[in-house]
Amino acid sequence: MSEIIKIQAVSKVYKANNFPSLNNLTLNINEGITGILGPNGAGKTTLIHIVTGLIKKFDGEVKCFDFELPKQINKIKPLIGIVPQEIALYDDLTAVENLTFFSSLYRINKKIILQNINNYLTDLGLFERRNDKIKNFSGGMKRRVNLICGLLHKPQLLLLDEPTVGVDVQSKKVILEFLKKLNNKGTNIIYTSHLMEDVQFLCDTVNIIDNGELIECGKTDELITKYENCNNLEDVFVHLTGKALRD
Amino acid sequence: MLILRDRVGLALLFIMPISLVIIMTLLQDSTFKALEEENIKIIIVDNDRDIVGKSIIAGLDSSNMFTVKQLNAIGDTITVEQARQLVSDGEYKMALVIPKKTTRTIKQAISKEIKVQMPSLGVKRSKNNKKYNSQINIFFDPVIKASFKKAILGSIREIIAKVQTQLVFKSYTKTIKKITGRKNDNLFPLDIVSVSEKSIGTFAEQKLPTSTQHNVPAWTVFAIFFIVIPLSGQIIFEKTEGTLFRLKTTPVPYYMLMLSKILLFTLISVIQSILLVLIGIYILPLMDMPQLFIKDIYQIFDIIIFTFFIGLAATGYSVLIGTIANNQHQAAIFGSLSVVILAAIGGIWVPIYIMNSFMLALSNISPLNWSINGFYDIFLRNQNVLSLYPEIIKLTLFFVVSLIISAIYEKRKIV
Repeated sequence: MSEIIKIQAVSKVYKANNFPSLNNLTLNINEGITGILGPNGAGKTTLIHIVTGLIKKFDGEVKCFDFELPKQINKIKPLIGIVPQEIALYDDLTAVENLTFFSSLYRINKKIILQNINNYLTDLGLFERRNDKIKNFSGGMKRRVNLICGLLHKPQLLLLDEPTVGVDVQSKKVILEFLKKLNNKGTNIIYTSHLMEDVQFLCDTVNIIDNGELIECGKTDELITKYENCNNLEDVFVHLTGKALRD
Repeated sequence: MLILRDRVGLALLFIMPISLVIIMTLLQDSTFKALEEENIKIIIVDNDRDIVGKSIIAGLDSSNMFTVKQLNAIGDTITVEQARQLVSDGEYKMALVIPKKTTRTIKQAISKEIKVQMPSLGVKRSKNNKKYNSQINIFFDPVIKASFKKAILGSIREIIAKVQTQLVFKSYTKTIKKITGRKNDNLFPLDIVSVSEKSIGTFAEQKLPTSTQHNVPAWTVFAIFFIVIPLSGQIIFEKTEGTLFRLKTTPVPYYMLMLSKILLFTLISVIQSILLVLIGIYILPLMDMPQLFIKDIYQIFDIIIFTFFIGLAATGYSVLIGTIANNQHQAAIFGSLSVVILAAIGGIWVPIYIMNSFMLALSNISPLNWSINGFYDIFLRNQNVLSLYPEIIKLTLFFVVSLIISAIYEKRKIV
């Protein structure tokens, strides 16, 4: 497996904070589905913002597909797809209008875009509702459109931030199985979530960060067996990050 | 697409200004007509029943501003107190009481003066030391505006002065004719100097500017700046709902996306302006209001070009509000309030020429003031867009400075 992201001794301190959000973090992400776990304030969002080029000022070195960040962000942008935690869609537009608008920003042939939209809407069970406004969709349906939005330009790497928050069991199952299929077709995925069972189901490897530092990484199955009295990923997570509240 | 779906935003951008133009023009026009169409009822108690009384009644009657109810001359009797009561009851807006023998008093005073001035010409010198005085009383309803009072008092003084002058000349003419034996009546021709009212600009050869000619540009500027509500709202929505994050991670640079938004809303402001001009030309006359006068087709181009710069300033301001505000409520409240304040100090609500020196200086900082000044130059003073370069420069600078502040603010927030 080749490396897609290489993070070398990265630190980031926001002006408003005294403590570092990322503290000399070194981490390599390989092809496949990688989970990034951490309690609130661990530095997950900062890490995603650095990889997506949103944060340009940081110490250390980050490379994505061998392109250096933030210098070569314009070469990286077409290769990555983002699915933010928020429903980043326009409520007053229909599903197709939203998808057409966001994919148009990648300068792809309109015919191909429409074909991709129809395929993904069918895969995620939304084709019949394609011309309905987003504001009339349920939480699960919005999440699925949010997911498709990050995929239409066929990225090599998909970054997912809590993509199953607030969705019903059926929607969650559809989303997770869809992501597995997507990975099988060659799309690499970085998945951050608080839902350990989702990560355990989906991810080949897991990186656990806390206080801006990498505290554990490895194959999901191996991590569960590595620690005594740990039966699942949640046990491992609590074992490593503690039971104290992280508000 | 997004703006087409935003019904509230569209209502703000198009229905609000159309309503404002129609309502404000209707209001001002009816006020103007009220003054012109004999709607102000006044009562004149003419106890003089001679030249002064008749001249005042004739003068006020011919001004077309009043419905004159004349008493005493037609045999009614009314006291000063009763006249005062009629105004106090609100039945009349003004009462004018001309005392008895006013004309006679003037004539006697002139006669005495002639005898004093001309003893050497054979006129018998007067030994009369009596002082002649007559006072006309005017009672106003308290609701009458000070400016209106001033105008009426000025008119009455002018009529009285004219009557007095006529009487003076008549008496002198009579005396001189007696001395010289000349039979020519017009020894002292009156009305040598007359005053003619003419407005400069579009209306110079037409007629005086109408309420439409003032209201259409004023409310167009106001409506354009109300772009702040939908545009800043959209920017904040993108910030808070995650679409901004998504947009910033696409290959299209964010400034390009922002620029396309600015151009779209500037285009909307041009459409607003054209729509309001068309309403002024075609719709207002259907409602018995004055038609908007446009000199020629080139003036439409001047309006479009100048509106483009107003639109730029308005969108720049909207981007600034959208960047600084934390949520849509903040942007809506601060945005609308600030536009209303800038409109007030900029001369949209009240003409700046009646403002005091402090407010006049303050009005210079309002982009709405630069905008309305430019529009008045086009609509009322018949100037072309090239001559509006000072306003265009100010509006463009305002746009650029707004964007620079927004960019700095945004950059600081990320770090």
